[in-house]
Amino acid sequence: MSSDNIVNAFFSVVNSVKKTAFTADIIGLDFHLGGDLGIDSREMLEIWYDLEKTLNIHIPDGEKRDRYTVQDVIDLLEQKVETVPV
Amino acid sequence: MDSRGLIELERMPFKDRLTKQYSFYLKELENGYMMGREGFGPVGKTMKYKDLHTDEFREVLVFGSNSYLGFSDHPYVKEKVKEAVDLYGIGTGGSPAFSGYTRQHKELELRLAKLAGHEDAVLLPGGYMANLCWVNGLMNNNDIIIYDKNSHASVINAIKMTSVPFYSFDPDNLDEFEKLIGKIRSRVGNEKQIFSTVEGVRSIDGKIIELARYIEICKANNIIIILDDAHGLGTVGATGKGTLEYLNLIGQVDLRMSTCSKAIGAQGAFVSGSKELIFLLRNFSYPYVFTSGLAQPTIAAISAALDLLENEPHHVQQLHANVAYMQDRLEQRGFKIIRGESGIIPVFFEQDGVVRLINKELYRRGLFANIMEYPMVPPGLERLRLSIMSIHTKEEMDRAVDMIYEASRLVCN
Repeated sequence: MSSDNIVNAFFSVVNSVKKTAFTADIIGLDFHLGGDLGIDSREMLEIWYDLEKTLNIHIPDGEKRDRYTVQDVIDLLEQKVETVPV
Repeated sequence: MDSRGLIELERMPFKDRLTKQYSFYLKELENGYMMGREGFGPVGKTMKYKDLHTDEFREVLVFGSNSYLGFSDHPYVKEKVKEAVDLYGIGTGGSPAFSGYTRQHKELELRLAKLAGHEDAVLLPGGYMANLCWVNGLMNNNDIIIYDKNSHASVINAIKMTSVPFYSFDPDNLDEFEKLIGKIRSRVGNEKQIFSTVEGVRSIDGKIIELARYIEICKANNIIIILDDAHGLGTVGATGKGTLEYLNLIGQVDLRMSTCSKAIGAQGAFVSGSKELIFLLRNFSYPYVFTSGLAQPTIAAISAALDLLENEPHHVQQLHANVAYMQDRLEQRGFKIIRGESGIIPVFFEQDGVVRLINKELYRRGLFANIMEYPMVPPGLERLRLSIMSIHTKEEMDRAVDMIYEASRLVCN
């Protein structure tokens, strides 16, 4: 899966959970989940849940902690998507 | 339950969710549910607690109470409370904004303010309310708050309730904190007010961060600082005034919150600060304005505990000596712990999932302790959370360590 597809999947899930209309054009990868996107830690768990389903990956809860920016999330998703056996 | 299970549960229709959660609870009860164990008698180093499977109450050794100095059952405190009841009665009959504010409240608030080197303070019915109070009274959606990632649930809930934009930071990585401030300032300019909060003594492990540097960074960036020192009062500092005394930083933060329900042995909490900041809380913070004032026995109990802190320094000194003794004894028996500064000692075990079994075995053997499991703490960092009291004897601490050693061997082997 390409990096763009992962970014798009991220915004699609965020928009569905938060009822927002964020796109990669207006949200920088260095934007913060909380301060910039208004996502709190509980909502983020919901977003992780949907991302795991959409991308068919599994991320242990411990690895979801201490991710502050959009980039932090995308990095982990890319790493997990790459390691999924084809 | 991991986060996937939690989200699946949350997305169920309400009636299904209720049925599932209640049936889970009933199953846990059959297995000996450990939450909300029922005690009887004064809070002390030994107490009667109800057996998990019968209605029998039996005496256990308590290493799980936040009454670190034993003031909840101190004869002087009890005497002062009885006097206050005779003089002033019980309830205040209203919120502090209406009829529920008395001379006793004002005198105590000023006394508590002095602890942090501040001009004024407000009293609230609990630490949760106190955190709601300062967020709600000071901020709105035109401001920004940068909060400690370890902040209590009450701070997070207050942020949601107030709609103030929020960023979290790791207090163990102040370089990143500084970079984050720079990034926010470059976006919003210098006019917007930024607030930041940090825990004094960390509630999960009793550690204290590099607070002097944190304060320096905040001051250089015109950030209003709120210190959450819920666990610090009565446990930290030579005379128990808290984290600010311990680090020689009294007067250096804008607001300080501490609870009176832990080492102080009573109930309630306070927020202290400058006259202007406290004016905002007193007049505009919903959790203060719309809650009844603290009852007179509570005011008297807090005041009496402050008398003891001032006049009898041996309580705090003994707590510090006991904590060091217990930390040494646990390490000598090979336990991995964190050597913090407060009355809390976290004890770690090699596997996840064993700590609740160890705690149940401890309770069966006659030791009351608490545990912290995921999601309260990160996966892999489950812990037994021991609370040490100044009134514990060496013999009782030795007995507790022996019980923990034996229970952990039984469960882990």
